[in-house]
Amino acid sequence: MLLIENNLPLWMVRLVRFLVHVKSILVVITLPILPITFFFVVIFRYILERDLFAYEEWLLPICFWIFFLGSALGTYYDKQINADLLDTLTNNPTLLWLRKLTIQIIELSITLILVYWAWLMIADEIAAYPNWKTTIALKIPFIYPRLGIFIGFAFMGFYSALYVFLMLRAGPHRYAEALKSVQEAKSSSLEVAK
Amino acid sequence: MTILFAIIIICVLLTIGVSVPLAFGGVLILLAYSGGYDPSGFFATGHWKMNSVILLAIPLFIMAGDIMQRGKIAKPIVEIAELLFGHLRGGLSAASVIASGMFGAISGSGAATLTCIGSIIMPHLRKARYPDGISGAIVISASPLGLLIPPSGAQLLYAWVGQLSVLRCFLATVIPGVILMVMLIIVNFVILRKDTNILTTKVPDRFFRAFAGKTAIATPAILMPMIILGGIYGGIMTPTEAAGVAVIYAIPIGFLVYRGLTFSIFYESLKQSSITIGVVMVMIFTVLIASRFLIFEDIPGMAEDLIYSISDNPIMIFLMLNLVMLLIGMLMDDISGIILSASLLLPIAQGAGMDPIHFAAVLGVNLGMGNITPPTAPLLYLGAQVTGVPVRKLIWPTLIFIVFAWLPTLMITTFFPQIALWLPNMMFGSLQN
Repeated sequence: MLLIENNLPLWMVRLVRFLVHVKSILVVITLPILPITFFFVVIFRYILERDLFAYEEWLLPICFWIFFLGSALGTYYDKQINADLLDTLTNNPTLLWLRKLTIQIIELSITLILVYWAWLMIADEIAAYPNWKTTIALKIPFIYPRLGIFIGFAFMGFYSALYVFLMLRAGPHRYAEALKSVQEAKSSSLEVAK
Repeated sequence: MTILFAIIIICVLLTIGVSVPLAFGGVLILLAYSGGYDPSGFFATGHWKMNSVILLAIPLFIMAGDIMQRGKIAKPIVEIAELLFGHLRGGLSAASVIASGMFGAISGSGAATLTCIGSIIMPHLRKARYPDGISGAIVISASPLGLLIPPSGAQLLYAWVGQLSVLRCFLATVIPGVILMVMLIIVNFVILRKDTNILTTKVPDRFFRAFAGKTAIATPAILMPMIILGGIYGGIMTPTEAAGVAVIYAIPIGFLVYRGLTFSIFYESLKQSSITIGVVMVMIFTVLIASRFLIFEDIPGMAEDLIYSISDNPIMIFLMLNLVMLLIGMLMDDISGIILSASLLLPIAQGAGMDPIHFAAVLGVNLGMGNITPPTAPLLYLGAQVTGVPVRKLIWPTLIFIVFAWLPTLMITTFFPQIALWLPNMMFGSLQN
């Protein structure tokens, strides 16, 4: 995350990095389940001549967790898809900082509302206990994938708030320096790739 | 009024640089507070809509693309294209178009095609003294071929949203993709014909031997699309299963054959794939919810009324649809553009007499073009990073390729339905029969 060094207390930096690390490990471990499952679906069908019974009912909830934790990591690493056009039009550090801060504040406001809506969905599920909606064959409650949606949005909100705080704390010039060092690191990693 | 505000919100948020899922989140907030919808149901709706095995092909294609990119699977493909065209002036940049088409058939993604082919061929282009801006622009302009040459994640999504045959949609974009390749190569040769600075390579004395050698090295990579497409068209696997098998196939190829993968690179590939997957799938989640509620607000009906109030001539309607799709492509990425266009514009296109499979090809070309047309132009900005050429140097040559290669391809695809329909009809028979 841009600006995290020197702008947060050490314990906070460690906490943020620990959370990111846990999420990264979780997605790296669970992601291969997807291709392996489909590979075995094909193997079961043509070699063992059987069906992998109701695999989609346990696979899809795992996928929802991967999607939303992955998206939270995307917010942390600032990799959400957006238009960077305005950044190419100016080199003025104050304008760049102001533009980014405005976007971060808008994104934080929207994300907080989405987190609240996700919570409403979870609250509805909890209120329905013990009559939870479940999958047809394996009876897996829908609250499991939905919890992934809520937690994913909650982390996206947390990282957005952190960005706003860091941007305000750093100011235009430190932001411009940090941005420059990231761009240099990016181009040198591309050189290495070539 | 709500619709007008929704359109203004989406345009403003996307233009200033708010991320696509949150821009659609903004539309949802507007719908909740002015459209009278209960927001507690929004996410449950999104969960229902995304709870589909077919959609899992998209993360699998992303994963396969990333593994192949890091596994250096593209290198032998570039070498074959270079061998075929490197001796001509402008041949090396034409080779990048051919390589993009071939790699597009492997990865199904424009970004993976651009990163792989661009990073390998750019140093060769520089060494052969090709002008930077034109080199970067041709690599960028050819990268959306990954969206047109099957398998394509975007076409799969379109088929899913429009409840159409995935196989037909895949085939609909093949000929437009080939036409685009030819157009890009012609424009490239015309631009570079008088550039005497360019160095050309010699044709090897034993051309066929060299060609056979390179082809043998590239065979494991070339087998990949055959496995995927053969599996799908042979009725052995569904597209999602084929994508899963592609990932499993790419891992040993990357580790053992091309040796681009190590355990640390593989870990990084999984991590980066999960981030890309998360970003794309959450975007699909919000766009699906927003498009569903925009349909409740009767956006397709209103757009239809608006278009028919201007003209009821099918040619004019198709041109207006193209303009809208191009604007969508310019403002957002291909995935969200596909969902929005398939949900909102497909009924209008069908109303004007366009076959939905034909629309798949028109949409694919439009969104591919939108992906390299500013302001959003994700592939243009990625291309600037990959090629190391500044955006300002890339814009003009890219616009030349858009005007003289992409636009003619779009017009041909739009007004000659057989270009898109011939292959699917030949393989599966006409739907009208």
